[in-house]
Amino acid sequence: MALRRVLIANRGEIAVRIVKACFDEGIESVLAVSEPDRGSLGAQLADRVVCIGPAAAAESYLDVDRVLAAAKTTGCDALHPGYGFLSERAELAAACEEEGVAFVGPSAEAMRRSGDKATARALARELEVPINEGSEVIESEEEARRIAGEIGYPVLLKAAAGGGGRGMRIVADEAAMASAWAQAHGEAVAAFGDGRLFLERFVRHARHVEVQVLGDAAGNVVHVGNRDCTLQRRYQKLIEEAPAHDLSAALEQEIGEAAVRLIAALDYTGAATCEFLVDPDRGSAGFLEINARLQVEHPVSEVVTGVDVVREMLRIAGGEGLSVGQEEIAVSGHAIEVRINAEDPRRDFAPTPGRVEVWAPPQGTDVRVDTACFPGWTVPPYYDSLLAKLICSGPDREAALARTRQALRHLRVEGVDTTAGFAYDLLDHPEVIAGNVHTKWVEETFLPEWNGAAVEAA
Amino acid sequence: MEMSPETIRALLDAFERSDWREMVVEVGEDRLHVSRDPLPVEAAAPAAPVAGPSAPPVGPVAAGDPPPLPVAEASSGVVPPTAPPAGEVAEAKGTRVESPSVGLFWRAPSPGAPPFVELGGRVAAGDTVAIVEVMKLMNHVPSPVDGVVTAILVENGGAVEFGQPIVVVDPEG
Repeated sequence: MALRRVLIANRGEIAVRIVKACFDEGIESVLAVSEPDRGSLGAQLADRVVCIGPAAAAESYLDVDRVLAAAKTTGCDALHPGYGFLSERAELAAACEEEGVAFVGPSAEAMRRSGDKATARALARELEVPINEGSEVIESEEEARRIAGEIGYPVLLKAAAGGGGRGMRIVADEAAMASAWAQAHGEAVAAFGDGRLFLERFVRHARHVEVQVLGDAAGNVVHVGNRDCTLQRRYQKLIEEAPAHDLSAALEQEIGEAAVRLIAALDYTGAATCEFLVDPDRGSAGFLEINARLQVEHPVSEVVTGVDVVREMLRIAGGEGLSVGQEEIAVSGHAIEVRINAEDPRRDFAPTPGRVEVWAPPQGTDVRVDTACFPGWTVPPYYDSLLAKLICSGPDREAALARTRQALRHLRVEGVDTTAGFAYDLLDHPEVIAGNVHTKWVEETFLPEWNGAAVEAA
Repeated sequence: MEMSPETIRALLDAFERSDWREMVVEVGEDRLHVSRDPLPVEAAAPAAPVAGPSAPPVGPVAAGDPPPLPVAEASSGVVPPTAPPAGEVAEAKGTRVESPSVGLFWRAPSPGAPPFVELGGRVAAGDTVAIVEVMKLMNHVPSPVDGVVTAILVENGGAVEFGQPIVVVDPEG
């Protein structure tokens, strides 16, 4: 049975994206909003809006009971959680199962197994998927010292339950282990209520490459190509592209197949992303983790393959099979996504909520803009600062880069500061154009240069 | 069009099972207006009138039967949360008590129990005027003031949104 009416438990550009996918599938969309989001673009586009709570996310977008009550009282037969908020809370998936509302995503069980980094790594080991050299869950600082000695410094301490860089520490040598252990453990307990840590070899020139996967209830699993998300600041992605450039055909095939094997072993339904750390010095890839949800950067994969990831998610949740087989999915051209945030990069990326007086994004055949922004909209101070995603494409990487810079030059936004100028300078840097960057490059090299140039110019 | 035919059907159904005299529902530019007040029209609930964005208001529609008893249980199915009829809120004098959450509105602590408040009844500040149920969690909604209940804006068991006025208490009553 195809879905009839879907509750969207999210906001911002991803709420708009899911409303569009519902429209395309002929499904009614009901958007759950917080009080300040009543006038959002998603609220204007959805078939129906239901206000679930006040501005505070804890009493609206993060409240499982309210979100579910909104779905039930509006007669929805499915719920799409988007990304962030409740999207990776197995508790919501379980509650949906109990209430007979189809969760647009994996089962609670599949989510638990894939979302816990330690469990996912153990599964990868079992399936002989290459893992970046590292440990199982570590119980004590002493054990961490012993294993780090075996792997070789520098190592990276990570929270088993973590994400977003919290509970994560680079440990340069044995002398630094004591304080790094204490900090990472403390952060992990504070952020996730779970202090378990593991460690892995720290790759200096690491690239972040991930594979988009889709699985349906009949057990069909396909991958929709890979993405490179190496340009990050404090573990937050800034710019993503598809496909990852300069990977050997063998390595691309290896990670694509590994991702499919992992997801197939989890009885997983919906969209998932398998992250790999690519070490260009060794020409190898190691599995990092699975994200059991739709991701911010899914559009680049859509643009280069023509597969609509969100529509596929809706089809899968409605019990229909995937509309494409692996042999039908081909990557063509190159796409780049720039996250335009309402932040001031000159003030350490401080959020700049406020009224958007002018909003005129570039238009063109090779430009896609995913956004909830419109002229006169006020960016509320309660949520994240993502204003828009600019997705530009071209026949190859060079053309896509040129198109992206052109689009950034043509973006007109007034009223709030944005990261558009920063992104332009980033994409104009010779090292980025050459693809010669690593996950710490923006913080270690680019930003000091960029801020220095600003000081000189002043 | 904001209201789908099945939404309109569900609204008419809810109206028929309620003890309301009149109902006005506005969703975006669509407006649905139904009334029990006698008009020389002998009509049962018509087959889903469809209002386009620029279409004139639908109705009034007269239901031939006397109003049925208020339903005591939540209608399952589709009860879209809607703003209360604007006129009614404006007419009732006093302080609006707003729903603390999305959920279901209950006038009594349990089915068959006497309601927390009746129209014209007195309440003290802090007295429960209703329950808003969020997935089996019963949120007691207190009156912010001493006064007299001048309006109960939601049908028992009806769906409510966060911030929706549910009861009006007049402190000067």
